[in-house]
Amino acid sequence: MNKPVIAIMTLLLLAACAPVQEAQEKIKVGVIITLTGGQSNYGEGLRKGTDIALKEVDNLNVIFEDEQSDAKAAVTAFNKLTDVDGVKLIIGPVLSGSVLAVAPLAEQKKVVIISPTATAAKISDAGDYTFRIRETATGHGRKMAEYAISKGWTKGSVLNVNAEAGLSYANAFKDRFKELGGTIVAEEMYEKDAQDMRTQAAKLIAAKPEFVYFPGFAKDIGMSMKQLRDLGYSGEFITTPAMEDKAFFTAAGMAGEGVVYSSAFDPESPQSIDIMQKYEQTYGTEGFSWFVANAYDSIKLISKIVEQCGDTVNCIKQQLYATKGYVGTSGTFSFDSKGDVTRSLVLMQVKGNEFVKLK
Amino acid sequence: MAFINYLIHLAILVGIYSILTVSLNLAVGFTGLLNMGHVGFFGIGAYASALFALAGFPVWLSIVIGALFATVAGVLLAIPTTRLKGDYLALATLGFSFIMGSIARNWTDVTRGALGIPGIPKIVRGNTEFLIVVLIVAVITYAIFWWISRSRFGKTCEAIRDDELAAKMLGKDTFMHKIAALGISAFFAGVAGGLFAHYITFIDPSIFGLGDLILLFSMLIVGGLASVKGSAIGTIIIFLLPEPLRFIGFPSSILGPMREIIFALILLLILIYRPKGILGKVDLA
Amino acid sequence: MAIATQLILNGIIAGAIYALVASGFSLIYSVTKFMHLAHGAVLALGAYLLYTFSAGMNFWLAVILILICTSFTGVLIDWLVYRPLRKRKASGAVLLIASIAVLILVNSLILALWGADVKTIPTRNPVFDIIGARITLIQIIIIVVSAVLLLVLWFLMKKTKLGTAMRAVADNKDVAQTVGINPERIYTYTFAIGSFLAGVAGILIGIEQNLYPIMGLSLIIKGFTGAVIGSLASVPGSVLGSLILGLVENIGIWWLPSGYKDAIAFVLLFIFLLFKPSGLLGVKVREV
Repeated sequence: MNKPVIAIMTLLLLAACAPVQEAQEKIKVGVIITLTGGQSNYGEGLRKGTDIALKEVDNLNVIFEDEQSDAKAAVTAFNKLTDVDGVKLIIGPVLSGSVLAVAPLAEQKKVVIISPTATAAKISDAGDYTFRIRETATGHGRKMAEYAISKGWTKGSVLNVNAEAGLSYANAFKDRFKELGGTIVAEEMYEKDAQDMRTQAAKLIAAKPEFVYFPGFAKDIGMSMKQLRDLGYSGEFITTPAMEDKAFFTAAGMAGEGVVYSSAFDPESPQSIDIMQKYEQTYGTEGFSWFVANAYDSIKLISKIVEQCGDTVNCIKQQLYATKGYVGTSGTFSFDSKGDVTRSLVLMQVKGNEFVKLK
Repeated sequence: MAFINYLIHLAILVGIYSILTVSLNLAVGFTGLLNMGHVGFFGIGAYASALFALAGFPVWLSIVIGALFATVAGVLLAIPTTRLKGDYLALATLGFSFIMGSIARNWTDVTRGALGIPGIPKIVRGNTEFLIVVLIVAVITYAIFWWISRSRFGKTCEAIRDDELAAKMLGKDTFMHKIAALGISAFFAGVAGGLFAHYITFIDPSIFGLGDLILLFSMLIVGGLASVKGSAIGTIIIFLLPEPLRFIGFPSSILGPMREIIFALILLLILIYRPKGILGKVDLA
Repeated sequence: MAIATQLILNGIIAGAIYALVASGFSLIYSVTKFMHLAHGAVLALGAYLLYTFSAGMNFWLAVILILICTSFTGVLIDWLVYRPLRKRKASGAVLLIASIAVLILVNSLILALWGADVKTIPTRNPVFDIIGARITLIQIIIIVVSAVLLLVLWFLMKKTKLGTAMRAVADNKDVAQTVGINPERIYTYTFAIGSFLAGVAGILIGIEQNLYPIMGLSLIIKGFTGAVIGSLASVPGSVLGSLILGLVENIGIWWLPSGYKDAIAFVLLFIFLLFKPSGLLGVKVREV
């Protein structure tokens, strides 16, 4: 970036901030997503999904804030949206750790937060004002354990990121796998945003597992797989929906070929085809993932609710809890009494740099 | 209305950091101990206070306990390091804050590691009330440091800074003075840490990182070493300087590094052209 | 694959990377007597420039350009920041703080210009099998380059006029001046060479690992830890110390949970600073 570009951008930003004629009924909604930082790749897909949905609704005034892939920044973003912008309804944060950091504040300030992506089991009990349209990791962990057993694998290993979601997946997986008679011969952890997993990889390989289960984020899952293959590992890989992002391919190269993962997004259902087409119209064939669908559904859902409730928080909350059988592009879902959704899961695979349904 | 909220938020942070700065001044400005690990005390105070509060202790008591933990750390750190010279002391104390960060990241049973500690209880419900609490604590802190600066203890520390050998010749126990200086400095840093934790309600190991180091030293040096008033002024200036940037409407991804760039530039300019800062009596040489 | 061999190899690879960082840092310290922590930022700059240039340019052309840029940046930092401070007889402590300020300044510029997400420089990188452990081509190159650099530096310092002048200034600036050596010019050369090394390190590390904005910070911490362990004022010492650091880290986490890797480095740093600041090779530096 050079000076003229920065100058032009600054001018454009100033222009964008200039007051605009707004319809009185537009309700302010905050969106906290990972625009920068280690998991910024998700932010891109989420933003695109949000933008597609915003073209179809007109009762929302969306204010974006950057979660920076860091829980502290999420707290700051939340405080800024609620104190300075006065929003009562927020879509986000993205990362489970960030949601857990923000949830107590949401309770206190009586602001509804709906995460489109957070999956850690702990979020179920995070509070009355915390919702998510993403299913918990528990179902995914269990499904992959069952898949592993169905393939006749009895000796497995886990390499998870030291973050709320990673731990949630890993625990659910390990419990179910052991329940079904499997043995975990090695488990290793790495810090979020770590670059070098080679020693953990070496320790895993030494235990000779038949597969490695990777609860992590797209980029580090890709990197770990590559480093494992480089170190001579020849077993199988299974993982979680977090990998469904093109950052995975950049990191993994060919190492990710054939990996199987669970997902709540069925690419063959009619609603999915619908959102994928909408995406293609604006953004082309590259870069679509379930993140786009979840963001889209979040916006459409609250647009519908806000139509009835305005920004009355109690009404919004009630309506959310009462939402059953909502047919969204990410699938059909209902909120339970904890603000969670349950979805049916499918198995997906990486074939030739694409995410396809497992045959 | 929203703007007032933002000003209160800023004022609270200025209050907390001004306590941190003046406590660092005792060690660096008055006693000549280049402690680069000050955030270590800040973080210990924050974590200890958060954990005790979550365990059910009253918040104000937790903050005091947190500060005491920090004090112990300060004394323990002082014992081996005060005989080191200048930049070696600086690096060793820096290493100390890194070690604290590592402990925070790995002692997961207690600190929850990288996941951080969310939901830390607040002292009072509203931000305005909290601002008042912070201001009261800050005023008391400054009064204490002002008194120290005029006391015999304070004068001896300055003598140690200027010429330790001479001070020893005069029969002063320089070792104990240095330990006390670091200990007191650590106590108040711990208080600031506790206040911080109970304000932000979420802390994680990044509190031990280099992030605030430049901020702290800018505030300290701009305000002036060995000047109690200077620390307050330095804090206010450094905090307020980047604020106009917000209104230019930079995207927040540029805003963050912009602030750091400004602090770093200010620090460099001050070091090169006016190392005494605004009210300082000495410079770092 | 023999796990022990792999860990040792991992240790050597990590050690070689740290050595690349430490050698330039140590060279500068030995001559100028202060800790140029901003060295890490120059390194990071080299890596990020490679990311930008590799998208269009011929690789070797990019390398030459980057090395010129980093050497120039190092010299620029010296002229703009350290020289004025030296003129007012600032202590090592002040220079240290100033170098941290420069480190953070350049880090933040990188963050603002390139963004906070992790970047990769795609390369073809075949893997080899050596006595039961696996190593990639880039890793082999890193080890070879650190060894070569060490030899080249040794040759430079012992056998060339410039090197002798640098050693003279390192030993006693004032006496060197009396025999007609201009210390400021020598400092300039030192920063140029040291920052050239930073550029080499940045390019190799950028290819081997990924680019993230605070990489300069993390690497310089490991680099100077390695240098402190070996001997801050001696380039061979800092290389040795870095290798030891790499080995201890990677072998250490065989027993400890992997999260302790950095903790090992910091504890070693702390212990050496307290008890053996002149390092294993014990090269003492005259206080400035």
